[in-house]
Formats: sequence, C-alpha cells, structure tokens
Amino acid sequence: MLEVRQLDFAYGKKRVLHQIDLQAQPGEVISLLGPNGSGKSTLLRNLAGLLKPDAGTITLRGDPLKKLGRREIARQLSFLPQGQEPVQHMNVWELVARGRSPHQRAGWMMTSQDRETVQWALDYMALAHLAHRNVADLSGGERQRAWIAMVLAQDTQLVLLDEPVTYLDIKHQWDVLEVIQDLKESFHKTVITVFHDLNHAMAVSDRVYLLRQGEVFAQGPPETVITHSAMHDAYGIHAQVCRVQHCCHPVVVPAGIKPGKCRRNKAAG
Amino acid sequence: MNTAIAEQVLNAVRKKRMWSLTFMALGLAVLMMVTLRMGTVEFTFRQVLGVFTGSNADSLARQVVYNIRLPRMLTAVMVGVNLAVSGALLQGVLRNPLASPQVIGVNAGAGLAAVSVMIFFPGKLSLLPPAAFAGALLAVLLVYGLTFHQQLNTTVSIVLAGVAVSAFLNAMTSGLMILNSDDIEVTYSWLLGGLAGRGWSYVSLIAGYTLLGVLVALLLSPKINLFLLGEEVGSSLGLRVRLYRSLIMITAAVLAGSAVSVAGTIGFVGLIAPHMTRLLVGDDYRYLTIGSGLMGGLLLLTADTVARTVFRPVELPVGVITSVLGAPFFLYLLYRGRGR
Repeated sequence: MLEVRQLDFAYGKKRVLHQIDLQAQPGEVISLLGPNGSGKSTLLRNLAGLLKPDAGTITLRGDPLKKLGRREIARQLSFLPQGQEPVQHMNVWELVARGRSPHQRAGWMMTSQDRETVQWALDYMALAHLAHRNVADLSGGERQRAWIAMVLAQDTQLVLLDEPVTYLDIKHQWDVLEVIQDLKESFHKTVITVFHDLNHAMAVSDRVYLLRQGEVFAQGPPETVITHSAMHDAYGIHAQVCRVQHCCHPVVVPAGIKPGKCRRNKAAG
Repeated sequence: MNTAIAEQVLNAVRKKRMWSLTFMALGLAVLMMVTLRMGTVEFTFRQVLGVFTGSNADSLARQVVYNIRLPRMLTAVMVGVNLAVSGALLQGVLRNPLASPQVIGVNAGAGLAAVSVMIFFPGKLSLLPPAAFAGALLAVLLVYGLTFHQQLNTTVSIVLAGVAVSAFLNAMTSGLMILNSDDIEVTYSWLLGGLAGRGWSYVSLIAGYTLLGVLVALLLSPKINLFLLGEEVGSSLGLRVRLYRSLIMITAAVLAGSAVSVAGTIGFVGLIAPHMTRLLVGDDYRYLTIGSGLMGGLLLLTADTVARTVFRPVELPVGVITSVLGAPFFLYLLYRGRGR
C-alpha cells in the first residue's frame, strides 16, 4: 500500500527526519509515537505529499508519490491535520461535501454518487441531524466528527490522521478510536495516525513506529514496542506496562506516581 | 432535530441563496433604470425608454441619457462589480476578512502611477488609465514577488508584504504631491475616486476586463472553497495551492486594477460588498462570487447616484460616499461578530 525508504527531511538546515523506513499494508492501523519534536507530524505530512522529502522514496501502490498529481494523490489518500482552520458561514453538509472535491472535475456539480457518499459519511459519524448546523456553532467533539466525516467522504484507501483525539473529552476520544478500528475492519482501509496517548496506540494499532529525534527508534506490534525501557529511552519517563484481567491489551500507567489509594494508606500508616 | 428536518432546512438554505441572487440581480436592473432618470434634469421612464427604442433620437433626453448618464452608470456598475469580486477573491484566498484590493497594493500602486503621470506628463490625461492599471499590477507583482520564496509564501506574509509595499508607495505618492503642490487639487480628487464625466471611452476601457475577470473568477470559485479550509486540507483535497493562489491573485489584481484605472481609488466597496453578500448567501464561493459582483454594482451605483444628486449641482467624489456609508456598516459587522 505505502512504502517509505530512507526518507530524509529538513526544515532549512534543521534536520527533522533521518533515514526513515516505513511500510503499511492494506487494512492495517499504524500509530506514530514519540515525544514532541520527534518528527511524527512532519513524517505524516511527507506521507501526505504536503512536504517534499530531501532524500529517499515514498511509493503509493507501487507509484512514486512525487510522480503523482495533487488530485491523483487526493483520490488515494486523505489527511486530517491537527487543529483545523475555523470556518465561518459554512454548514456541516457543505464541509463534508468538500471531501468529494478530488472526485469532481470543475467542482461546480455533485453527482448522485457524491451525494450518497456525503450522506453516508454524515450517517456514519452520527451527524445527519446536524447537517444544517453552522460548523462554527458546533461543540468541539461534534466539530472534530464533522472534519473526520469530510475525510471519510473523500473515500480513500489510505487515511492519515494527525492527533485526531486531541482536545476531545473521553467519550469523543473513544468514539474516534472506534471509528479508526471500524475503518480497518469493515472497510479494509489503511490508517496511519499520530497519538500522544500510549493507551490509544495500544488499543487500536496493529503496529506502532516509535520516533526519537527524527529516527525510527523501534517499530512492531504495540506490545513489543511499548515497554518500560523503550518508553524511558524515547520519552525519558518511567512507565509501567500492566496486564489487566479481562482486558485484551496491556495498559500503560506512570510508574512514579502511586494511585490515590496507595498514597492514602501510606499516609495513614 | 431529526434527519428529515435537517434535510428540509438544507433545501431551504439552497432556495434562500438562489432567491437572494435573483433579488440582487433584479434590484440592480431596476436601480440601473431608475438612476438614468435622476440628475440635474429629471426624465420620465417613457423618455428614458424612448432613448433605447429610438423614438426620440435628437431630443435632450437622448443627449443626456445616452451620452452622459448611460456610460457613467455602466462604468459605475462595472467598477463596483470588479472591486467587489476582487475583494471576495482576496478574502477567500488569503483567508482574511480584512483583505481587499487595497491590502495587496492595488490602490497604492495605481495612486503612485497616476500621480506620477499628472506631475511628470501634465496635460496627457489619456495616459492616466493605462498608467494606473500598470501601477496596480506592478505593485501586486512586487508584493507577490517578495513572498514568492517557499517559506515566505504564506497568506500572512502576503498580507504583511502588501501592507509594507502600500505604505512605502503611499509615502512616495504623498512626497511627490507635496513637492509639486501646484497640481495637488486634481491629483487629490483623483485619489479620492470619482466617476464624473466617464463616457463611452471608459466603458470600453473596463468592459473587457470585467467580462473576462468575472468569468475567470467564476471558474475559480470552487477552488476558493477549498482555500477556506486551510491550505493543508485544501492541498490534501487535491488543490494545487501555489498555482491557484497565483491565478486567483492575478485575477483579483486585474479586476481591481482596471476598476481603479477608470475611477480612481474607491475605498470600502471591495471590503464590504463581499461581507454583505456573505450574510445573505453564506461562504460558498459558487454563490458568493456572483453575489458579491451584484452587490458591488448595487453599492457603487447607489453611492454614485447619491454623489451626483444629493448636493447638486456640487458633486462629491464617489469614494467619499462609499467610505462614509461603508465605515458604519463595517462597525456594525464588527459588533454583530462580537455578539455571537
């Protein structure tokens, strides 16, 4: 589906990515992890074709990304950056309908298939009842869902998301995680997403890439990458990776902070 | 609210937009007819219609309406259309509600070129329109050239460069005017903008640019819709950002440059007409571009009619009227925005 070989990227003289190798198979969910400034978002922008790598190759279904036109890329991969432009005077339906742009010639008319896809995306993100509402008037969670619906209306095989759950409350965070999982399971889409929360990566990813200072520090299934020592080396934190009964994947908790009950017992004793 | 009601509301929104455009078009058509009657000499509708049907070929009505009022009215409408469409394009592509032709240097460039002609080639007033047009385009090219570098090619840099270039050119204009204070009155009234005495030669000067510019602007409108989502999202929706930004800015510059070259620097129309239209048809440029054009025509024709009739026989520069009417409306928009 997507293959990256020995990718280098620099902003001016500042090296941001170095010798990145990455593969994504159809129907795979991949998370990019790493501390702030490790190059996750920059890597995602390179994959989306928004930034041009200084060296290395990116191939999308066998075609070099740099040989493809903007519209051709947009029909194969969609990208949602973190934190969107505030849009005024635009209703949810219009925002989601913009997702059909790469499939239209001049952009003046929508085909019946375009309309069906927009309606599907609205229904899928449970937004149909808000279709007429102004995007600016929605709550943070609803607005993020509207943007995700726009990306879904683009109907691409590969979906790139930059921190899709940031600023959302826990329910909306989990809703987005469910969507990511369902995109893979029901639609066999490939999703590459940046997460800050290790447990989110643990919950939905097939594989994770852990970045440190612009290089791939470790990659593989989340259980093998997210370990005490790797977290210490990459983030400088002491993390405890616990197996919990009835939970299908491990959870990561801070090792240095004792839960409230332990603290209270200690104080009492 | 359930899905069916949402669908109904959406259909109502679409209908409202079509009706708004229709009303603006009808309003403009009516206003165009009405203003032909008005002036120092008032005519009846029958007399005005007679001018077009040819039933009163040599009358005073034909002299005044056909040779004076009709070309001036057409010039006013086209100048208004050009400025408003240009402003709408710029507000969209720069994602800046304060953007107007003024912001990318159109007025300052045209102003400096026009003042230079008046001072260095006095008596050759026929040079004015082409010089002002060239000055406007050069100023925009300078602004765009300064920000052409990859990392500077952002909307904020373009706006900042526009402000800097405008300030520089305006300072040179002021300097020239002070050093050559004999000609200052003519120059000053040109800078304020006006449509007095614009005959058929001016109509032919601007008509081609209006037709072509509006047509290109309409073709580009769906692309501007993508700019509104931010350049990264637009780009990942298939938009070639640099190509279309250049095309849109050139179109805006040609529209505004041709307007300024026939009417001087008229403020506020390019800024407020798109905002007024947005209140009616929303931010979808497939409607907003054409709506802004109609609104610009309406505004400038109204302002010009006020300028030439209210204080007659004295005539005010139309730029004064647009600013006097425009500034309070802009404050209204500001307070309305706060209240949300």
